[in-house]
Amino acid sequence: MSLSPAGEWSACGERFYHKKEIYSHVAGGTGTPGKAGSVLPSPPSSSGRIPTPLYEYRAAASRFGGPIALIRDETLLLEVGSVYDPSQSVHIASSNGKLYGKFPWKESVVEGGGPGLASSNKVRSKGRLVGFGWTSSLALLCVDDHGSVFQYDTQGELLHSHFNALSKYKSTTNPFGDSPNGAEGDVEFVVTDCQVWDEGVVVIATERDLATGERVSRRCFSLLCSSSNSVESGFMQVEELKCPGFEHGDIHSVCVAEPLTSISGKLEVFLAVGDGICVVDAQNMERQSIDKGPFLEMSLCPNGQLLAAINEDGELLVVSTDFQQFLTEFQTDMDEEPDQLVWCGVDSVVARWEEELVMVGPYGDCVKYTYDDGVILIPECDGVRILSDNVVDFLYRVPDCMVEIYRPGSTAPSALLYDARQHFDNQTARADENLRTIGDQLVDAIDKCLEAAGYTFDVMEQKSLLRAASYGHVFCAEYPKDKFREMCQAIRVLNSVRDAQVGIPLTLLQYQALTPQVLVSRLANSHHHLLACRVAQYSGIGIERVLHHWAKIKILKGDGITDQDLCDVIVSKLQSCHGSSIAGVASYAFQRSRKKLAAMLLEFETRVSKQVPLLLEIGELQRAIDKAIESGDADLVYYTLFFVKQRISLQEFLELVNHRPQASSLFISYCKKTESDSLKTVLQSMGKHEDIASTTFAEILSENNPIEANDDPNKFANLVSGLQRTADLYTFTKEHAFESRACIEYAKLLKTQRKLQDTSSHTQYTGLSVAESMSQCIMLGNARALTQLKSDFKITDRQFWFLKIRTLSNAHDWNTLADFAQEKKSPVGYLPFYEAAKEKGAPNAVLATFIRKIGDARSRAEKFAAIGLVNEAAEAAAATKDQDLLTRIRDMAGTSVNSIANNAIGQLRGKFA
Amino acid sequence: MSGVQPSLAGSVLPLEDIRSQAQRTLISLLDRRPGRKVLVLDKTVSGPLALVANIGVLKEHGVEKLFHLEPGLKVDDGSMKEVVYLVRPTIGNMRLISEQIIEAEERMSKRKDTATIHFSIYFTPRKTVICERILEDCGVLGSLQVDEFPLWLIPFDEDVLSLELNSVFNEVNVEKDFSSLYDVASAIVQLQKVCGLIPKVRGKGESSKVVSNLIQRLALENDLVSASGEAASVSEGGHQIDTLVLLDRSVDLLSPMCTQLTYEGLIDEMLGINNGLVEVPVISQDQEQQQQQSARRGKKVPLNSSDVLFRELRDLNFGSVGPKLRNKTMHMREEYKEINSRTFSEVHQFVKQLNIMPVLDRHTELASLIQERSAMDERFLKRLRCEQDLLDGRGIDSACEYAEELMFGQKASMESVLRLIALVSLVNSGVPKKYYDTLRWGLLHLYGYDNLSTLQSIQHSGLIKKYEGGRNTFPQVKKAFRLVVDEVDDTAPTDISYVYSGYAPLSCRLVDAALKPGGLGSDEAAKMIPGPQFSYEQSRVEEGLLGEGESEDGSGDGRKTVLVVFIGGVTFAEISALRFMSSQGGLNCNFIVMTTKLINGNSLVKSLCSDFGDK
Repeated sequence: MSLSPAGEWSACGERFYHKKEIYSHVAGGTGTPGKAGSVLPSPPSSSGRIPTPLYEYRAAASRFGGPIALIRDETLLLEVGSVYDPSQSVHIASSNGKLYGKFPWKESVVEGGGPGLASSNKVRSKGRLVGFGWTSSLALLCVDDHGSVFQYDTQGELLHSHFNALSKYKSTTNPFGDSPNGAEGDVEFVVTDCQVWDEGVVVIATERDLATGERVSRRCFSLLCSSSNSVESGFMQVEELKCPGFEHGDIHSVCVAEPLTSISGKLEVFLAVGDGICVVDAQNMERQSIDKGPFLEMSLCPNGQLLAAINEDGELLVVSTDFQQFLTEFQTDMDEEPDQLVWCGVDSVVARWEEELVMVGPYGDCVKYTYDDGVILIPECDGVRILSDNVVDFLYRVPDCMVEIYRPGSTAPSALLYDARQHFDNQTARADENLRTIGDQLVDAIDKCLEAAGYTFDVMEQKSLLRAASYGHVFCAEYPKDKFREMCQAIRVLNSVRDAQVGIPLTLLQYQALTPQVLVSRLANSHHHLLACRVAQYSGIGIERVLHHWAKIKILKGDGITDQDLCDVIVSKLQSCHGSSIAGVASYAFQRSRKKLAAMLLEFETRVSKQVPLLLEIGELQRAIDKAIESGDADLVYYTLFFVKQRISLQEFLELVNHRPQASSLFISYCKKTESDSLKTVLQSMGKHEDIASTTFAEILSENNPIEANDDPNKFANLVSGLQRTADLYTFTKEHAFESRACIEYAKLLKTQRKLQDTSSHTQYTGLSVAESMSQCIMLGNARALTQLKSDFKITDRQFWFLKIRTLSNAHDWNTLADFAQEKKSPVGYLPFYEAAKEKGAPNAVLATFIRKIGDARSRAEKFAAIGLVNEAAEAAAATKDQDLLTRIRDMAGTSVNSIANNAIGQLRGKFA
Repeated sequence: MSGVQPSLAGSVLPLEDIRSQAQRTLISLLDRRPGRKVLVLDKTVSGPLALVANIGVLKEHGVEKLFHLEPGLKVDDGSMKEVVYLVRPTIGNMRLISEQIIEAEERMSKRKDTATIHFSIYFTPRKTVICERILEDCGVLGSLQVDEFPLWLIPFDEDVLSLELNSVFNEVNVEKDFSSLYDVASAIVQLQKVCGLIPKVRGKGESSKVVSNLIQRLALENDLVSASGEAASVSEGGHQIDTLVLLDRSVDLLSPMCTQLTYEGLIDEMLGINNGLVEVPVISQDQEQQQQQSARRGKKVPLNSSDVLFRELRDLNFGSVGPKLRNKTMHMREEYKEINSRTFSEVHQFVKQLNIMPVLDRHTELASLIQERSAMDERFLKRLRCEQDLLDGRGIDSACEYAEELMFGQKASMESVLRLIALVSLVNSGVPKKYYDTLRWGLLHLYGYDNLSTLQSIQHSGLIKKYEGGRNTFPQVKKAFRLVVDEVDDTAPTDISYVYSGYAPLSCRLVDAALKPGGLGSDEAAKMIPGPQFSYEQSRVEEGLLGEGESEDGSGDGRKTVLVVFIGGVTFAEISALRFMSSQGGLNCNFIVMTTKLINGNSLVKSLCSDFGDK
């Protein structure tokens, strides 16, 4: 059995703090080589560890156990025997010192990123590195003294073209601002300080007159990182903040209050100016009533409610951020400027003077730690990581649950439970005794043991705590099982990421704050793809993004691998994962100028809407068209066609489209609807003669409206000749003789109508059809024209008779209609006469004349009956010899039927009886 | 509840949710623009829109003026600073809108208005590249807010959904433009998102095949199925629809060409039902007055299953509507007579029934109007006899001659003439040569040469063709599918043929065949009809689970739901036939009909007529 962990604790007032060693072998020496099968590519540096001694380096570390960046402090003298690195490399490493990558700070960069500087595409070297730091999405922001911001990823790759935010603000004081350089009265920005935070960077700059070298003003800017990759510079928003002028004194230190925790809910910047502190944001500058400065270092508590500051006299102050409450004033008795001042959790502050650490608790108690060499303090939300040349320590306040369990002589239920388990393992009866003592506080005891297991770094300790908890669980049926399982899962995840190979020393609280999703993407970012997948699956998160990242890295590092092999490897992995889009990977391959690979990958993309745009981009025009057609989405086809049409000549385009009937009909439909000039060219090239003709027909009619053409001889001529032309077009194909003739007839009709109109000026003929024109002639009694029309347009007798009957009925011209009925034998019979006349309300006498001519006796009888001529009806019915009909008519007429009918009925009766 | 919108509570699918979701989306789109606004609606959108959101709601969300998108519309009069267009993504619409915006801006700059009008366009059901391109070409895209209103499906009734796309049949069969089939597929996928993946798919016809391919692809893209073919986890509803039957209108062109004889169908033929509303002309004793009034608009009456009486009547053959109505009236009278001898609760019951009185009155009026125009109209009866002779396999010549009489003797509408000729062509595998040209010339001579392109469209669509010899397959199809049923009792039908008094719509017979075990895949009879046919399972359904539901009747009566999609339109008579099939047991299923548009023969033919004025 090991000693109680409480032995390593140090008391600070009533609280306990624990400085726990979490990693050894941080730098150089016996760096552990990557195990076989490790996903991590072999590190570029020979040793694979960070350089030492650390005190020579400036460092930037990200929170949540993320990577650290180091650059040698140029102001220090070079030790004899060490090698000078003229390029001033920035080293990036895991939190336990394993090198991820490095990049030279001193190198030439191509200008052109910043807006406003777009014209000058010159090569310029970076300035002095003023400051650097990590955003929450693990981009390393480096700011040089010209105000340019460079973003690197965790492997040291430049993410975006660099961005100079300040250039566009320069002109505000300069009336000739548009000239880039050297104009009289021009000013220059010199960045004096910067502070990177989770989502951006705050930059403080001094403006100097280039000619006189005098300081003009001091300004403060906030730059926000963009979350999407589409923004070229990587920045979304630049905002100028208020800044105290030179009259307030020098700025000694800066710290940023994030919008999430600041009082105003907006970004606030605390500036130690002169003797006091200013809080500034975009709208306001507020000088606080505190004058114990100048404050050399300041630090904001993780929850944003307290500010720690240390002044020239070595006095440490802790005040609430609204400056209403002064919580602690502590004299450190140090007269030098501290190297670092950070919070350890939310209730104590750690200050560092070289290798000397002073931790001050909330009630003015303090603990001192001393290291052999310089260290770097990295604040976390629940403690401080201490990076030294050899080890990484984590200094944190011991959580209450652990204090309860481990404090010597503790009689808390959790301590008793922990104890009980050990007795149980030793098979002593005290176990039972302890349980009895715990009594109904068992749930609380289990809770505490579980919680403590989550907090501790030591795997053995985790085990014994979990065993204690599970021992209690046996006696406590109502304890929720899920809680147990969740904690065990979290512990498993934590242990695996804390592994020295991975080097992310997360605590339970940090893990909860970071969320599993972010952890997974961080793991992927540091190329621990396998672990990332496992954690994702374990936590129920989709692994698509991990796989995507993995695939992109494969492509990035796969220079020596053939396209086919890479494609196979990537597709086999990605296809196994439902819902992953291969198009994104293909797009990356294309960016990396592996066009062939991109094309191969795209074959496997199931979402056509993502496939097609990329195919177009990589110039696979034909395939893009085919895929778009295959998708059945006309809109996508149009998108593709328009895109392609812009890229190639019309001739080439038509050739492409010609072989694809669906594309061509869509394109024709578009051309028709937009009345595009190219329509006929298109149709011509496709040999669609019928369409050409019908399009011409429609065109001519809409351009030369027949009714308008009536008054305009020009239009009339156009119309007639146009119809003639259309007729010719229709003769291209044999089967359209009908259409061709129709066009000729149309022209003929127009000419005839014109002639008719000339002879009888009061009647309008234009716009009428052949039949309507004939009706007109019937009504005017123009028999000659009527005959002419009938023979010219081959109107059949049947048609003519129907037409004439209708026309005369409509005109209520009963006499003419009756005459017409007498003229000669009707080819349509006489029922139509009757029907048309009856519909238009002709008198019975007229109707009767028509009925008499109806051949069919039965029909005659019915019609007579319908107009009330019962006797005639009965007579006709008698002729049919249909008894039923007769009876019906007799019934209808009652007694008024005359003798003939009665006789007839009687006779019939006799016959059938 | 608005009177126009049908109550959807009785539907087997969550159509009510779909409708309220659509309304919510519309509201959020309207609210995106602040303050009072002008709403300009595409004419084809306004009718369907009334079925999902009523005017009151629009007003509540700042719509003060409502216009139809028309040439010459001035949107900038008045004080409104917001103009919102809600339109279909057509090229014509884009041009109109561009013109209006440019004109409005010119007027504003002339007036030196300082305040500008903000324009937005919401496309329904989706925005398209082509529209944005036209707006860009016209130079207005930059000053516009563009978004979409994804109104794919409009619930017309508990069992009827429509996409309200007017010209799908024309676009697909004449212009060979398949874009609307993508819309159909999208609509099905939208429904699947709500109701779960439909396991079984059956279909017949070229367009059906295209749509079937599209829904498989879209299901994959929308994560409805995984690549391995397994159904992705769906909403708790699970598989609410069992089978999807896709029918291409061109598979059965015959049915819409026949005159519908159900109550609802006949109302549609006579008066026209638009967006669930029928306009009843005001009847007046005085002849002259009537003529005056017919110029005015009649009153609009909603026709849907929320009307209890209509629910009973709509699917009946018109012949039995009269007796039914008489019965109802008699019954009421009887009850009224006995009212003195009743207890209070019985009286209460009676008074409750009185609610039906206005409806009864309305339908008696409507039915007598229809009666006048059909059963009592010689011409109607003659037409009907002609149609039935054709279906029986005789009277080709007299039908053609009758068509000529319709044209020259009566100058009937071109649609109705074309419809009769189409019927001849369909039952005879083409119009006999000796009539073909006479009729074609006749059409041009009577209705004008402008209609040349209409004739071409009709020919391309397959509705009318010339008889080119060869065997006529219609008699065989007729026999195999028992399309003509003799001795049908329209009042107590036993077969769907009652909807056309003796003719059973082929489309519904195909649905019947599709639902038989084995589906349509190898149905020999169906192979006589041109066009591909298919049957497949979209996902491996756990048979055990489905079986359980049926035997334990956990969810209702274990009836399956079948979605029948008519690509190119469906008639009311066909819907009635499907309802009848469902009510007859045997199939043990409920039908939900989805269509691109509710049509009848005239409107289908009309959709093929080119319109020079409206390009």
